[in-house]
Amino acid sequence: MARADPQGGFAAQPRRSGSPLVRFAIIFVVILVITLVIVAVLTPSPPASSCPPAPAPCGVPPKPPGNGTTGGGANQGTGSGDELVVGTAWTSSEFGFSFHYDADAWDVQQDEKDLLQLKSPSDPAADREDWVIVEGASSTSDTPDQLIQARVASLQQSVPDLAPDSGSYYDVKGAEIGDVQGIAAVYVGTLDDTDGTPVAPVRYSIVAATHGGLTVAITVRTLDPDAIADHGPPAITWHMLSRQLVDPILEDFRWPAGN
Amino acid sequence: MAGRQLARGAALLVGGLLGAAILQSSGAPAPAGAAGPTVTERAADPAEAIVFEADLVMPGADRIAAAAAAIANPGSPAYRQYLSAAAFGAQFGLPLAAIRRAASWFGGHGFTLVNAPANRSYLELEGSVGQLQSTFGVGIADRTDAAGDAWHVAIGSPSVPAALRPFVRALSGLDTSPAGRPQPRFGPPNGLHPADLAKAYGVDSLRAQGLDGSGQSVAVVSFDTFDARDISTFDQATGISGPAVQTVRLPGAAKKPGDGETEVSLDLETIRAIAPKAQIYDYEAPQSANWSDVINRIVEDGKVQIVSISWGRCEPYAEPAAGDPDDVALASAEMAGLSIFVSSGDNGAYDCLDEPDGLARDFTVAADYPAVSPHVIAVGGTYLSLHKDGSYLGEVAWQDPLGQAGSGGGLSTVFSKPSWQVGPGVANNHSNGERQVPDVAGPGDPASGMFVISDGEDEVVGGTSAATPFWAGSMVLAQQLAAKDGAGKLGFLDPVLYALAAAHQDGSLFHDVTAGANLLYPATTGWDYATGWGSPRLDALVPAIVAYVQAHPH
Repeated sequence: MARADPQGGFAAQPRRSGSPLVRFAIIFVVILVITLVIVAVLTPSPPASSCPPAPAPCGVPPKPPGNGTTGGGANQGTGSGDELVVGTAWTSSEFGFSFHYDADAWDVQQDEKDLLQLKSPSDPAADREDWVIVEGASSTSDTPDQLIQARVASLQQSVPDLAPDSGSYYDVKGAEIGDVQGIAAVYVGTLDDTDGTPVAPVRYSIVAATHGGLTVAITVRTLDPDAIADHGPPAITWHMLSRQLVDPILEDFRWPAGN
Repeated sequence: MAGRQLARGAALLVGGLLGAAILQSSGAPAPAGAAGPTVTERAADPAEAIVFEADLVMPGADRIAAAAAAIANPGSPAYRQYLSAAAFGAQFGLPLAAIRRAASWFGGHGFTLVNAPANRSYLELEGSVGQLQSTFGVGIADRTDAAGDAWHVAIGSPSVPAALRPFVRALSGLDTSPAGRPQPRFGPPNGLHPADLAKAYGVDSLRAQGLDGSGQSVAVVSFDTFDARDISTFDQATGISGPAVQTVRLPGAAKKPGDGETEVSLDLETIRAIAPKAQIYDYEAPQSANWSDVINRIVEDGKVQIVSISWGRCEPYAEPAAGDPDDVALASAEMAGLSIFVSSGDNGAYDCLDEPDGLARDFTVAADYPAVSPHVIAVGGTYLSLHKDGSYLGEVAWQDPLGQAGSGGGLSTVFSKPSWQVGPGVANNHSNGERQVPDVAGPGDPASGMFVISDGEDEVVGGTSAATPFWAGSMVLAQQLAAKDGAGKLGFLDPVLYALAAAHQDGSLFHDVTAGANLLYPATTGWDYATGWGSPRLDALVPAIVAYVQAHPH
C-alpha cells in the first residue's frame, strides 16, 4: 500500500497530461471523440452488435489478400481467394504487386502502372499534409538502395537541403515489405515556398526490398505540423503517427505470384 | 532499490493511429544514451510520511527456484504440491519470532507496521523523512518533472543497523518514480468481437460443451480503474452476459478512471469475450505500488488461479533482481499454483524504446518485466487473418516497422531459463541460458485488435495487452473443463504448455506462427522470440491440457 499515496504534496498521480506526447494523445482523443459524436448524431445507429448476418464475422481485421487471387505468403493462407478483405485494393499493372489501403485515411494523388501515390485527405479537419508513394522497378535495373537513391534524387528537386536524418529517433527497425526483408532510410529537409522561403520541416522515411525480379520502395512524407497549424501535437509525435499509418501497407503488401 | 519501483508502462495499444512513445521519467538510472526530462529537485520536508519496505532475509532463497521446478516436474515427489503463501513463507522465510523481533525494532524506532505479507518477504512500514534520515542515514528528495508529475527518491544508500541485519537485508521503496502509462492508439472501426474470437480460435466447440467460464474465477491486475457502465454496454453490444466484475481495491488505488482506463476495459472485456460467465476480480493498485503488493494480495486472497497482467516495463529500467520481493511474490504465486499471464510488451525486441521522455529513443534490445520472469507466462502478439466466413486463416508475428511497435520478445538479462523451457526452437543461436520470452501469443496487432467499449466509446484495441487477457480467458475454460472432469487444479501452466507444444509439433494444439517478426527476431517453426509457441487452437488445446494434468497426477 502506502507508497501509493505519497504525502507531503506529492502529486504522485499517473502522468496524465505530462509529456508533450501525452498532451497530443489527449488532443487526438478529444478530436476523435468530437468526430465520433458528430458522426453519431448525424448517423443514428442501433446500440446492439454491429455484427452482420452469419456467416460473416462481426469484427473485421483488415487483412486483405492480393485481389483475392494471390494471398498466401504473409498470411500463411491458402490463397484460395476466400480471405476476408477490407480496404481498397490496388495492383500495379506493370509489375503485378498489390496491396490494400484505407480509403478513409488516404486519397489517391497519382496512379501509374508502376506507382501509386496516396495523400492525406483534403479535409482540413484531418490537418495532415502527408503522402506515401509505393513504386516498383525491375530488380535488374534497381536494387533497393538504388531505388531509394533515385527517390531521394527526385525529392531533392523540391527539397534542396534534403539529407540523411542524423538522429536515431526515427530509425526503422525490422524493415520489411510484405514479409520480405528490406532496408530503410530516413531523410529530413525543408520544403520551400514558391519564393524560396523555407516553410516546412519535412521528413521522408523510405523502405525498400527486392523479391525475385521486382524491387519496391515505399516512401512516406511527413510534415512538421507547426508548418500547417498554429497548434497541435509535438512534431515528433506527428511524424510518428503519420508514419505509422503506412504500416498496414507494408504488412499487407503482396508480391506478385511467381515472382 | 530501484528495481522494485516498477513504473509499469502498460502494454496497451489501441487501434492503429497513435504511435509514439509516451513514457515516464524515472529516478532509476537510465541506460546510456537515454535522455531524461527536465526535473527539479528539492529536499523533502522532514515531517513528510514515507512508506517503504524492509526486505527480509530469506534463509531459503537459494532453494526457491529448485522448489518451483520440482512442483512443475512430473517426476518429482513435490510435483503439484502447491504451497500457500503462508507455507511458502514458512519454508523459505525467517521464523515468525524473528520477524516479530524485526517489527518490534521498527516500532521502537517510531515506525508503523503497515503490512507483513504471508510469504515473509518484507515488512511494509511507514515513517517520516526525518526518521529515515536519523535511523538509516538516507535522505529523501522530492522531484517534479516539467509535466508536474512528482515523486521522491532516496539520497544516498540506506544503511541497515547491525541490530537489524539478521532480519533485514535491505530497505526499498524509497523511490516512487512515476509509473509508465498506457499508450492508446485508435484504429479501424470494427475490431474482433467475441463471436469472431470464438470462431477463429475454436471457442465455439468448447462453448457447445458448456464451457463458458461458469463457476470459475480470474483476476486482472490494474493500475487504474474502469466504468462499470462500459462493461454493460459491451455486454449489450456483443450479446453476452455474466457476473458483474468485482473490484478489489488496494489502498491508494484510483477511484476514477484515468489514463489506463482503456487498458482496464480491454482486459476485462476480452476475458469476458472468451469466458463470459467467469467471475472477474479486478485487483486495482495505485501506480506507485510494487508488484509484490498486488501479487501477494491475490495469492493470500486465494480467490483465483488465473491472473491477467497487461502492464510492464522494460527490464533494464525496471531493474528486477532474482530474490527481490517482487520476484519472491511471483515465485510464491507460481508455487501456489497460479498461472499469471503477462503481456510481453509492444515495442518488439526493443522494449525500452519508450523509456526516455521527450526527444530520445532507447534502442536497447531488451525484454519486458514482469513478462520475463520465469514465474509467469509471457504473451506476445500476432496479426490475425480470417476467411470470409470468419474462420481462422492465419497469423503473422506483429510488427509495425514505421510505428516502431511489435510483439515484445527476447532474452532476460536477470533471470535464468527455467528447466521446463525446452522444445523445438527454444535452443537457438541467441540462447544464452537466460529466460526467453514470449511463451505464447495471441491477436495483438492493432490492425486485428479487439472491439472494446471504454469511456463510453467504441474502440479497437490491440497490443500484447489484448493477447494477454485473451489467453487468460481461454485458460479459464480449461480450468472449467478440469473442474468438470475432476482433474483438479491446473497449477502453473507454463510447463504444461511447453510439454504439450513440444510433443505436438504437428500444429494440432497451437497455430505455429512462422511469418513476420518483432522488429528483430523472426517468427520461425517451433518456438521463437516473436510469438513463442504461437496462438492456441482452443478446441484441441483445452482438452489436451486437462488430459495432461489427469495423466500426471501428483
